[in-house]
Amino acid sequence: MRALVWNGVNDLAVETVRDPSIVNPHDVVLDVTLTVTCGSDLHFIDGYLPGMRRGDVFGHEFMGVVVEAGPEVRNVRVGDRVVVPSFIGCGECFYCRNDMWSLCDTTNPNAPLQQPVLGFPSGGIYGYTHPFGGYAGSHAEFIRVPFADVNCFPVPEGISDAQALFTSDAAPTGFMGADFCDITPGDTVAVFGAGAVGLMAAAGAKLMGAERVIVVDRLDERLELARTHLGAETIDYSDTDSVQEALRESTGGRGPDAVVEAVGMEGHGTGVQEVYDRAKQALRMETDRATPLREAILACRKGGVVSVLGVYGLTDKFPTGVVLNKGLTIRSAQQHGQRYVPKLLQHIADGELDTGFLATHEMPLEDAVRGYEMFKEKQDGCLRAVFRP
Amino acid sequence: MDVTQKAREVVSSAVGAASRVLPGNRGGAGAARQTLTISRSAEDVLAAWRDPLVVSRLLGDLGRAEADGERWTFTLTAGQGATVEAEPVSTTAGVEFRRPGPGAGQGQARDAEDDTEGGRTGPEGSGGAVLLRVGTRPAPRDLGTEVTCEVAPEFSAGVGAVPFTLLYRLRALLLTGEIPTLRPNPSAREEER
Ligand SMILES: NC(=O)c1ccc[n+]([C@@H]2O[C@H](COP(=O)([O-])OP(=O)(O)OC[C@H]3O[C@@H](n4cnc5c(N)ncnc54)[C@H](O)[C@@H]3O)[C@@H](O)[C@H]2O)c1
Ligand SMILES: [Zn+2]
Ligand SMILES: [Zn+2]
Repeated sequence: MRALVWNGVNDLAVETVRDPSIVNPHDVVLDVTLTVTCGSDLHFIDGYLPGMRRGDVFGHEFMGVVVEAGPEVRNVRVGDRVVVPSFIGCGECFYCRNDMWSLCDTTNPNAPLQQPVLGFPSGGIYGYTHPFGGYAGSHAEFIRVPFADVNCFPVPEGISDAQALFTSDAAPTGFMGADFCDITPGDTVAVFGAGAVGLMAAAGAKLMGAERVIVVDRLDERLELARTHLGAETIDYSDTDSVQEALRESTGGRGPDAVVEAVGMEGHGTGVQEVYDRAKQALRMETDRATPLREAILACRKGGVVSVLGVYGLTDKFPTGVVLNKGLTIRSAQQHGQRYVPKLLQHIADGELDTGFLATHEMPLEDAVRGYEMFKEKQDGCLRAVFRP
Repeated sequence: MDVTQKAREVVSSAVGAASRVLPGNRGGAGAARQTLTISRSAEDVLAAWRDPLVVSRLLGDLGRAEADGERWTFTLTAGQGATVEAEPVSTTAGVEFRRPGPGAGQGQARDAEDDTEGGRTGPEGSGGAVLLRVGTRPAPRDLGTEVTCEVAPEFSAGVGAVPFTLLYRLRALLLTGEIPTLRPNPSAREEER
């Protein structure tokens, strides 16, 4: 089959690889209908997240049709049109049973590689770095999905492929981030980052009852999407001396009740701190440029929640004292997709949630290298490049 | 006392306890040890270690086990295919695979007990060196069984902790009926095409 592979830092290619097959009895193989870029991929494409190997098939946000099912699969059938969360759950371990699917205790074949860093390894994810499992990813004609009964969600008729696609990763991540904010009616939630994850966090916050959602980014076309599709207010940080001050002033000096960080380790910053972070990141002395994370912590009101969705490595200069003295609650996770997919599909069916606008560009898989270039460089207003294998 | 100081003490006392109780300090060359909680009964856990087919699945890339009655033969990747003979011996709440040696093969071993540091003192002098040791104790609440695994250095290929690997795979197998694996896994690497 044809697949997009990572051959090195900023070196991608569409190549021919072997087809996946049923390996374990609870597996299915999907014919991938749609698969899409994610900001998380940029971290290893740019070389800031270690653990990829030359030749890896990547991609983790996708939907497709079941073409083969293992002997122990009960709830999913050949021909089913399904969407699959990016993290692989087993449905049986302590974490899956407690709805914390990305923490699954059994699905990471490379758990021993991750244990020295985390102490307690995460679950496996498709098409990501080897400490996260090393599973082949979705930017391919076919993909093997383990534990299909808990990981494949049939898409109801009436919901298009393009709408369902984003319930794999961007939408559940954003909704989880909003959920972490414990929103009560009337709350103000600020969201740093207007990528698909941040926009879905904004959508989630609105649906959960936030009165005001303020999205911060510098890309006008993305802020425009936040205003028109989500009714959010926006701040262009490149046009503001201090985002912290802008947020404080627009909330009567109180600050937002919660702040979602949806930028990650390659966030932009300004000033001395940015120079310091860039230098250290270039020297691989720290993995992160954590400006937006620090800003989120500074901007949040006292006693509020900072919900961290952006992917980070080992940040230094973390403002612990600010967290302590402001009495902040920090919540974070890789997305627990299986917790949210059914609700998200229902919101879409009920007309309360639109995910389709995230797909600004669609192209054949053969053009995926160009798609990543556009996505990475934010060319032509590219928010997400969707590939059709 | 500051936190770093406390952490240092905890680490050094853990390392100290480990070095006092691991089999290596009684004549071997040191072995690693790990505990994981598995939400299954001790019987289920120990039955797995009595089945050479299961043990071979747990070993995977680390080697394989075959049994002829009570005589097991481990073929370990780290030993470049050399074989190690061992015999499973029941302990109070576990099993030990012992190499033939003075006093080996006399059935039930003397109890292995938890010492006050949370480490286990081995069954001194009651058989040959221990190649692999598995112990169980009930986990609190309804969490199942705390399973401890220790291995002799022969297992170690130098990367990844072998006891952790074995227990992770055992937990996966007992909970889901599968061990997570990547073979075959599509990639553009020559050997996997
Ligand atoms: N937790 C999870 O499970 C999970 C899932 C998916 C993605 N992610 C992570 O979420 C983050 C966002 O993902 P995405 O796909 O939306 O990425 P993206 O690259 O499309 O969007 C990131 C946005 O952040 C903006 N930005 C950069 N610096 C900023 C700053 N200082 N202040 C405000 N905005 C800033 C960029 O302009 C961009 O629009 C990434 O780190 C990704 O790895 C996490
Ligand atoms: Zn993602
Ligand atoms: Zn699980």
